[in-house]
Amino acid sequence: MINFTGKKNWFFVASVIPMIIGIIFMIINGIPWGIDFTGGSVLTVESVSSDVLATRLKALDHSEAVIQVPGENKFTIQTKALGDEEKGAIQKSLEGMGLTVTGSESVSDGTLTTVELTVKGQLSRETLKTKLADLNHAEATIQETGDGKFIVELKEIGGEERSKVEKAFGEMGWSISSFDSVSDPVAKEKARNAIIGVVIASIAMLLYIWWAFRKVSNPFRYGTCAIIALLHDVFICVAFYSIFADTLNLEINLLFITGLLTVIGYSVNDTVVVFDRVRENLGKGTRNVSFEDVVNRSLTETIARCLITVLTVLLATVAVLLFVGDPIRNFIMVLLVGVASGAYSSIFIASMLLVVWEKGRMKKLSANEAAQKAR
Amino acid sequence: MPLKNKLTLLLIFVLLALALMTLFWAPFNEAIDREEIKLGLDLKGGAHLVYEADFSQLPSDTDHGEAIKGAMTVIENRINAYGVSEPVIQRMGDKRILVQLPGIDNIEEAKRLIGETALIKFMEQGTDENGNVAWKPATGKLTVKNEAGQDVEVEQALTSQYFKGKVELRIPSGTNQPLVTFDWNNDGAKLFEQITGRLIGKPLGIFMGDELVSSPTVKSVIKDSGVIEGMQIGEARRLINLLNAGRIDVPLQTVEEHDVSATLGADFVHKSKVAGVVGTLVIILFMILYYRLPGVIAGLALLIYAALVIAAFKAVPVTLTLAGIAGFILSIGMAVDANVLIFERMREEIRTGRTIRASVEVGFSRAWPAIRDSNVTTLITCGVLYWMGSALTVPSVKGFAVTLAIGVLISMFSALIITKSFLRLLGGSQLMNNQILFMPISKKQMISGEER
Repeated sequence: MINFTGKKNWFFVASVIPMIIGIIFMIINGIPWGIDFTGGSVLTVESVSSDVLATRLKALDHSEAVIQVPGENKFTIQTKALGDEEKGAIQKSLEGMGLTVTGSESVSDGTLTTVELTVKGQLSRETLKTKLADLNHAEATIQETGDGKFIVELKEIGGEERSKVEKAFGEMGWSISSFDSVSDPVAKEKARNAIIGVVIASIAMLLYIWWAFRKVSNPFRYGTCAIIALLHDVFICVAFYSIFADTLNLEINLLFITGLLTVIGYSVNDTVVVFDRVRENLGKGTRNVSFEDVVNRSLTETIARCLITVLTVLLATVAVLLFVGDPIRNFIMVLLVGVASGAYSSIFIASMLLVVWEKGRMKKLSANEAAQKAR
Repeated sequence: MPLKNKLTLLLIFVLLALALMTLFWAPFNEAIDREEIKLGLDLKGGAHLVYEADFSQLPSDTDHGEAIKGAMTVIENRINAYGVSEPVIQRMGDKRILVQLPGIDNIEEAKRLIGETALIKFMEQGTDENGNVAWKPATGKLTVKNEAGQDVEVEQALTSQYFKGKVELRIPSGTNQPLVTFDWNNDGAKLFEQITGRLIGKPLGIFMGDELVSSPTVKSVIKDSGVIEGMQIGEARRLINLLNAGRIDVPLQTVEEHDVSATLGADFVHKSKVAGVVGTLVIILFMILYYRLPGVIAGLALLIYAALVIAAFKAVPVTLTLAGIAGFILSIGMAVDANVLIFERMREEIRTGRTIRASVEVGFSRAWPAIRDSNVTTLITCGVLYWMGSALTVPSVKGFAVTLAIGVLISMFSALIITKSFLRLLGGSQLMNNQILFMPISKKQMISGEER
């Protein structure tokens, strides 16, 4: 029999430390909300073509412009005769797109501007993804449309950041043909509703455990400790995401919430298995055995099962990480952390809290006895 | 073998056969209308629609943000009623709405469903300027307060705007004529009373948009409720979905529509399959190495578990996203938990000196309370989340609850019933006398010659 209860304060400390670090990070950096909650930007990206340039010139009030493609990666734009100011405006706009303006000359019936692309990077999902990662937008999602354009959704960008992306894309020979901010105005409401759901589910579970453990004394405590362990796991997950948001590129999005719901189910499940053994051992007649010993025995008996279950879940997780990996790291990480925390909290938090609570009662009882004797 | 065991084995066999048919047998899939597993936007792509709201016809004090939000909610309700799960609905800029629907082949139908302004109009017959019989809006008088706070009478046309609560579909027994039933709110009841009172013996035209749905003859004065008949069943269902999803108050125009590819690229379906197969095999291997003969049986049960769950996903149907698949793979890891509990119990019993056969039975019965209580708590979570998901319109939470519940129920079935009956099948054989097939033999046992 392993003496778990003797070291219970250490276990509490081991849980509280990461929580405190998590809170510090939350205060300094804030909670790392993802696009789902903060809103983001949606861009349509396509290869620079005469159509793209025509649209751009139309926006500058040059719908008369005639665009030709004399050679690969080269465009000539013929407009009406332009003054220096107008020439400058067009040049600035095109250069803002990351294009190189190589010349601008007057011809008989107007002004001819020559534009060259620096490089023509092949526009594909992979090249786009790489470029976005270079620009610190690894979070972006990319969809290809039927007509060879790409729809990119990324964190909200504006002003300077937007120009930077536009320029970088232009240098690749890509152009942003539409730019919009997107948001789900009810995303936070939905997350809040999910939380309400979890609270109600917790109460329902507490009631069930209370009922299922009705044969032991103080069944209410078992339910409460299980729910505290659950909250512990939720908090550890949020703390982990706050601490490692930058290092591991994590964010709290709808996937995280889904993962957290899974963790909640697992956490209570695991605690109930441990408590079940306590319930069984208490029923075996424990007249001369202290509650601590019953818990220690129960934990010793169930720890192998707890470890093996964590191991099998871990094996599955590693398979997913290896073969699918990056796109669902927000989901996988919360499960990894949550399952580990769930196993830990069943043994070291829920059970130890139960011991502390029961012991408090026993102390009170013996104090009463002493008082009675003194009388 | 007792009859009960035979029946259990038969049940397992039938379920497995059903699952395999659902997964692989094309004619069966056509019969139950489940040709393929539904995949989410991230894995399969779908239809991409952008709508623009036209505020020009609305009162100038309309809150644009709220109007867009309202339209988004209605769109979401309609999409859900249509049976498409995991859509993306986002506000784009100030007056546009981006909608992405996974796995929609018929973009026209999707558009019709989202964009339609479902309004039922009630008409009466009159004469037009040429003296021909024509339908004109049926109107009645309502008393409202004007700006100065005085009561004034206004003439109002009767439409589905005055419906109260949910519209319902009824099919009276013995017919296949669907009826759409509805209740009027206070104003609607006042109007309907006046109109039906006026039209006794005359036809009342019920229009959906500009199309005449039916024109029953009014037989008596009706006040509180009404019935629309003469629709095809499919049409009636669609009408009900549209009416119950709510009205979109602001005119919407499609400004962009095209198919989009999967968010993640095509190869992730394949990658997740590989992950699933590898994950399952590694877990089975571990179970066999650690638990020996029972491990082999647990592995077999796990394969059946996987087949049943995937078949259930296909049959329900559940729209699988990459996260959903990953969740399923993890559930394989969790599903062996019940087996682990049972096998650990068995080993404890063997250690106390019971025969293997007795230990198997005791292992199952002793592990049962833990398995029951732990899984019931998870199922309670599922129930609450499902209910909350519908009540608070968070479809993804609802979908998650269904997926998790399927996994929990099937894993209990697999661990308790499948493993147990397979182990019992071995009950009569010599294998059950060989402890080395169940657990390592400790030194102590070898010295005392206790090997069984």
